[in-house]
Amino acid sequence: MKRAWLYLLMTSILLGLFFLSLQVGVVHLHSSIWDLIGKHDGVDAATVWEVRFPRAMGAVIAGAALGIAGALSQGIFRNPLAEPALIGLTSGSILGTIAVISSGMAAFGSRTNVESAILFAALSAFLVYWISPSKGFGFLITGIAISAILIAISGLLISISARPGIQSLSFWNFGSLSLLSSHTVRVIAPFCEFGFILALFVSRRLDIYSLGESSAHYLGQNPKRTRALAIIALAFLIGPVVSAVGTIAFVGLLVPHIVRLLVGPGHRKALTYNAFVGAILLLIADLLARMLFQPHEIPLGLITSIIGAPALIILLRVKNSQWVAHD
Amino acid sequence: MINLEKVSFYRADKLIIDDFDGQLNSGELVLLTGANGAGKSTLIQLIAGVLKPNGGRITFNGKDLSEINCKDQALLRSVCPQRRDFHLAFKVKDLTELLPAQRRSFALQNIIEALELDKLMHLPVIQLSLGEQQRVSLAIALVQESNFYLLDEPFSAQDSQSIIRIIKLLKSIANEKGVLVISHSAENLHSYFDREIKLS
Amino acid sequence: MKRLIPITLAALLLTGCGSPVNATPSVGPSQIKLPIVSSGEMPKYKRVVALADGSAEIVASLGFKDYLVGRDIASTMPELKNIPVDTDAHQVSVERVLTQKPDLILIDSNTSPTSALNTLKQTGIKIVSIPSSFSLANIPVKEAAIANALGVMKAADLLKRDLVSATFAPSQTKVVFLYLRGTASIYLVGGKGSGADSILEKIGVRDVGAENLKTPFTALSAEALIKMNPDVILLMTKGLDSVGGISGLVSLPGIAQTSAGKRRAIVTVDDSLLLSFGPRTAPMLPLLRNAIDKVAK
Repeated sequence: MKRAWLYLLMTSILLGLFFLSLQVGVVHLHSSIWDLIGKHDGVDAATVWEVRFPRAMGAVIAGAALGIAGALSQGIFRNPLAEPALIGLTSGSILGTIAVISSGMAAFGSRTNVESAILFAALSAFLVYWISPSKGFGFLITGIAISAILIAISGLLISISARPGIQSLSFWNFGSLSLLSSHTVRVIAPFCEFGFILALFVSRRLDIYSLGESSAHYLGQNPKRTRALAIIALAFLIGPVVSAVGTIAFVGLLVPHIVRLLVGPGHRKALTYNAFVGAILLLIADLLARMLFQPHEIPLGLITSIIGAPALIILLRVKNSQWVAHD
Repeated sequence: MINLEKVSFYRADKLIIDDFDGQLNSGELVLLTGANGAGKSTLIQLIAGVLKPNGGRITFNGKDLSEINCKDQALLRSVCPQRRDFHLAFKVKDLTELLPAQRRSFALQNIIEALELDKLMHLPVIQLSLGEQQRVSLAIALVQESNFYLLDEPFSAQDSQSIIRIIKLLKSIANEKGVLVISHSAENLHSYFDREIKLS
Repeated sequence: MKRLIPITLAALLLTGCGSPVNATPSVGPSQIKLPIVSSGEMPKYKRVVALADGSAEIVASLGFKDYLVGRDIASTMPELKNIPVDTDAHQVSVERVLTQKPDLILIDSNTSPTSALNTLKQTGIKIVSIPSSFSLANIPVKEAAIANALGVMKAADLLKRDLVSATFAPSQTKVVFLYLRGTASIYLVGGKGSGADSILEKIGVRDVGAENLKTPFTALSAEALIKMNPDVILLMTKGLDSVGGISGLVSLPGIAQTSAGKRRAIVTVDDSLLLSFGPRTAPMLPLLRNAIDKVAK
């Protein structure tokens, strides 16, 4: 019963924020959103359907994907501070995107772009996993080292290539929804959806996996398979988002902590909440990015860092009993 | 029957287990003893399939362990490791219900009562004492429906009264199943066990 | 007959969103002849190295191209091609300057490094600092400063006439200037003080960027652009290339929803010309106004 209420609450908040995202902005609307449904002519309709709608959809998709990806990474690395960026997924996605743009194979925001990002993300994560000497600290250091190399290669490609749409390193580091078009939203949505479904499937294994790899094996689960499936799911969640909007820091890290406070530690039952909370957080962050210094717009990644980092510290201090660190 | 035939295992060029032969049958409660470093835990991990032997053969009811997949192994044997690393605030109840209902023991309620967990069911496991966590870990292994139970030091953090209760529980399980227990604190408990395997 | 149907259909569709523009007019250095005045004066210095941005072209316009022995990188017009450049990646090369035995060096606040300038000062060569120009109003000031250094004020007065005499009929065309460097993720809208505002004001069109934005440059936002709804978008030529041409430009959020975006009404001006604010600015103005009028309908 409690869960039904929580779903209802989250759905209403999400819809409310989505509506607000369509409603507010620099352009003052002369007609209400309801009157604009089905219309395509005029400044109001263009603003709402061509600019605000894809942007809000982008925030929902990216937020949900990052929230789920955060929960999945913390589960699979059994570490409350794990996030996709730590295991090379984000830097892999950036390199994958830049590689196809700089070679002239595809334009920014295209399908080839997204596919390459997913492929590189998965390859980087497997590479980190494969060459890391141990599963704990060594794993983290390997992830950071590989990420640094991938970012350096990306930076090199950016500086020697002058292809349109390659974007600067700062764009990739501080993500922004400002370049997101409705076309790109349509391109990334199905990939992220596949990632959601795979993540749902993996999350059923993560509760058992949380007891440790040997324990998982004793209880009948192949931990290697769990990990491989999780990395593939993560690549499908992170690749499309990063290739379209760049890195959005702290959402993946913060969301699972909020969700554990709300519904407890289970991965399986918490997964959809991670999607909800991620989408809500990103809609709020994007509203702030757009509205705070009108008509100037601030990169979304800056907002999430400014809000996310202190929030994370507070969460960890207030309720550290949700997670006990070993090792 | 679990059968080990000339099983040997090396760790970093050091011979841990040398040509070991042994069995575990259904209906017996067996004590596994040996000095520190004799390879007791290693032996359980070999039978559990997380370590692979360098030589010899391990079979379950005649079937080679290497041919049994992960899920099927869990139907044949259940393992309680020496320590389980609880890092999330799962409630004890959640942990006893990790496996789908059809793979849980019918005696779930008895097990929980015998392990004195009935009053702790709604507490987060990470707030429990070491001894309580050890009983939760044991519960996770015992509620898993299987033919054999391999328990590594299940009472190292228990007082003598709890140990007796646990052994009685194991004895009742061993009416039908095979139970193998590693223990240091079992010197005065020999009478409860059907036999003892000594590793040297 | 069958072939005509899609064409008519396309035409109908296109008229629905205003008449489309077929070509993107572009204003480049080759279309402009550097104005050169002749005042009959004799400058005080015979060998001039012009390091200040755009100063070489001003010296030439004042009628003293033959006195130039070294120039800055920004003076790009073909007339000055034979004069050596004395900077390496915007850094002054002392040795190269000295081999030209100058008696006057023109610098501005951007000339660096300071160590090189100090070395040149110690050799006793006359060094004059010239103010930079960021708008139309700065042009005569900058020209006068250079003319003053050379002692040829009459030439400066002659040169000023071009700019003062130019007048344009007022127009209601709404123009916005975008500064784009797609490869570096720089997407800016020109506002008040962008430099382009003074040009657009002079040629009689409305700069909706300057009307709405108080700072010289603001990050491009889709909504702000839609609100301004320009009829024509003014870009630098390489700026348009850097976002992938017209198709890349209209895929940036907000562009396609403006009147200019719908009709592909884009005008480009060469990067080194548009904001050079020197003697080439005056002849550029009518060309730019023409280009804007051509796509504005």
